[in-house]
Amino acid sequence: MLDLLNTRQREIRVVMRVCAVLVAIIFLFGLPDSLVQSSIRLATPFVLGSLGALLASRAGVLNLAIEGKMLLGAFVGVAVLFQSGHDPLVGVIAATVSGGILGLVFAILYLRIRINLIILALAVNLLVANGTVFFMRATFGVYGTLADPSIRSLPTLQIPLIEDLPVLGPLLSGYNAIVYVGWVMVVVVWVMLFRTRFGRHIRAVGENQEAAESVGINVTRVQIFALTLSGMLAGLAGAFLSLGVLSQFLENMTAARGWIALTVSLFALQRPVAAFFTSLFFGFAEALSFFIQAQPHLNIPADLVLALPQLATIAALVMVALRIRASELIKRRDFAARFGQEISDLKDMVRPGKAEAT
Amino acid sequence: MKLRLLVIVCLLFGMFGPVVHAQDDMMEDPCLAPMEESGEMMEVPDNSHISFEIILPNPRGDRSFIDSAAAGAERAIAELGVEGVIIETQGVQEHDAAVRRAIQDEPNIVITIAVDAVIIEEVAVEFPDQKFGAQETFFFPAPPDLENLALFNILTHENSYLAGMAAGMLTRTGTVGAVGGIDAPGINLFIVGFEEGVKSVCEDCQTVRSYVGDFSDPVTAKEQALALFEQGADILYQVAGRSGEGVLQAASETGNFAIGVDSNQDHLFPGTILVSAMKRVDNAVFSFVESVVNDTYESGTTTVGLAEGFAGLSWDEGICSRTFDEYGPEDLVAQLPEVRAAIAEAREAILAGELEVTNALEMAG
Repeated sequence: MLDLLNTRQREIRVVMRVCAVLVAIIFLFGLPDSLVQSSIRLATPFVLGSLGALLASRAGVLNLAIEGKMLLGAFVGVAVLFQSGHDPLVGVIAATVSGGILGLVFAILYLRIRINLIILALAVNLLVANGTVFFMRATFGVYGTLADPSIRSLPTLQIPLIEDLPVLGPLLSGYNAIVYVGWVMVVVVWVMLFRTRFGRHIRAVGENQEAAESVGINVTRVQIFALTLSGMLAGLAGAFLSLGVLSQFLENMTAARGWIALTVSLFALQRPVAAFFTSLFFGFAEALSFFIQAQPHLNIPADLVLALPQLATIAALVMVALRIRASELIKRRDFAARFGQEISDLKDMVRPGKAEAT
Repeated sequence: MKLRLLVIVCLLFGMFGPVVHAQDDMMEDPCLAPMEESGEMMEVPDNSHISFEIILPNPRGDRSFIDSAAAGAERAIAELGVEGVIIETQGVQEHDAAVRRAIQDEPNIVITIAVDAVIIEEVAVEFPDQKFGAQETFFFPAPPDLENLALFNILTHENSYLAGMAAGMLTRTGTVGAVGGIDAPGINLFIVGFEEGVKSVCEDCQTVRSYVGDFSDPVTAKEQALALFEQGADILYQVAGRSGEGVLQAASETGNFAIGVDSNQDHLFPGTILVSAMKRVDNAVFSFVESVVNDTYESGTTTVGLAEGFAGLSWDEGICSRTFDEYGPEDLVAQLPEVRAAIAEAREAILAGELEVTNALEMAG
């Protein structure tokens, strides 16, 4: 089996790509538009959040505060709009900026004052979760839900020519601006990480801080920038929830989406494009669970259906782990095939020597 | 660098500046307000030696079940002149600690809202001198017989049935649905009653349902509601607490309709919410406090519902919400008198015992 994998690697890769394309085509043609659209909407907070998480990870900081930054963004976006008559876009920008500021403060506390990273992140999450509740009561005098007719959600954008296309229309058109920003950010983050000097610095710092420092990279500054950008992306993800999907803020409305985004980034091995597709997969699994529930003739217990995303995650994790193990085994075989003779020769050379010594 | 930071901070404060003013109270009921105010101003008895503490299962702000309970507690404090403490918890993991904490203050009564039966039985046995009033706690198969434990349950299958009739008569597509918080007997009590109501007026109507799996995730609830609307449903009954906000918003955005739950939610999205199936948790809380004030506290289980006025519709007398009449689309508004007549008839049949609605709790027990 392994030999087969080994000798036919190229063919296998081609077959797998063909399969992926086939699955994508079935996905687009076979599934109802609403399911596809729902998946893409549900994936958006994961896309933005995981980009934020992977930027920080690439700079060598595991950003466990994504959840808190998301929640802050969701809150600030709505708070700015509350009875002010501003355009929703103002709220989105404010949310992004607030996430960035929290990221900056987080970075300064961690890098300058040297607070333990994990404790700091948990503290930030708790502070935001309870701080938003406090401010809702103290500033707006409402409990738990901040809603007002003055808070409008982002409009849905129909892209003129594309919306009329048969399959691509519903796939590409009919979302609010943040969804598109999410797609653009995937490319932007990829270009930044792999095609710019700053990105090289981020990766260098993440790979090996001492080495980066020794060639004159300002490690602290790179990390502060990465964490600030990470916070901005998370804040934007929060705004998507409160202003993109809903038009109100509810206590703890992120519902652990920040943590899932972090998982997505780890799962995608900190690669932006992979993170995008992983997010889509997570979004699809969620949307599918709702879709199945909405079919009255399929009599499947709701709890089981709701566990679908989790089951899919476990299945995917197992597959990735198996793949990594298989590739390791292949590498070992490869190595043995190429250098096996030399190694045994070396061993033979050592052994007579030993015999002589005794 | 520093300058840039300063500018960002200033900008943020600039945006926050104009928002700092309190929200007007929109919850005023046009039907009740003038009457109550005049009576209330006259006399508040001094019962400050009597105290109660109420434990809410989740933080306030669901504009539904929990807010209703809190409103009842606040009314008791205002009208009965008692000392009251409202304790909010973050969820089931804090209930036990919150109940025990409340007992330490030795109030005349500890009121719990939707706290699990196991916790209540344990503390009620442990502290025999402390009076407990438990709202929304279902013991299976039967509640324990304790001197210091009063259970108060509001059954909502009958008013859900009436709401279902409204949905069945007003649907344009012939498909209506329900979005529940979790798949549990307490939630299915609503949904099963609702579905029966739909079928009673519209034999061929299809009913669909979906469960969010969480009472505080409106984003998920909204996607589920959109999926149900996509299936052809045009009226959704939300029984999902805070998550339900997402259902209401989805209905409003897609031009479909929703039915509110527990509190009067008709005004949240005027013209979208047909009616709300109300559960007067506020009255239940108030009656607990009143029973201590009047020294009429009795242990045991009290089960009330439509007949006792603890469950009803927001259209009913006393609340007389007419938001949908004002903002709803013409073709549906024109049908409202007919719908209300049918509901009034069914209500009488239920009260007279001629019409029986399935109680999903009994099925589970």
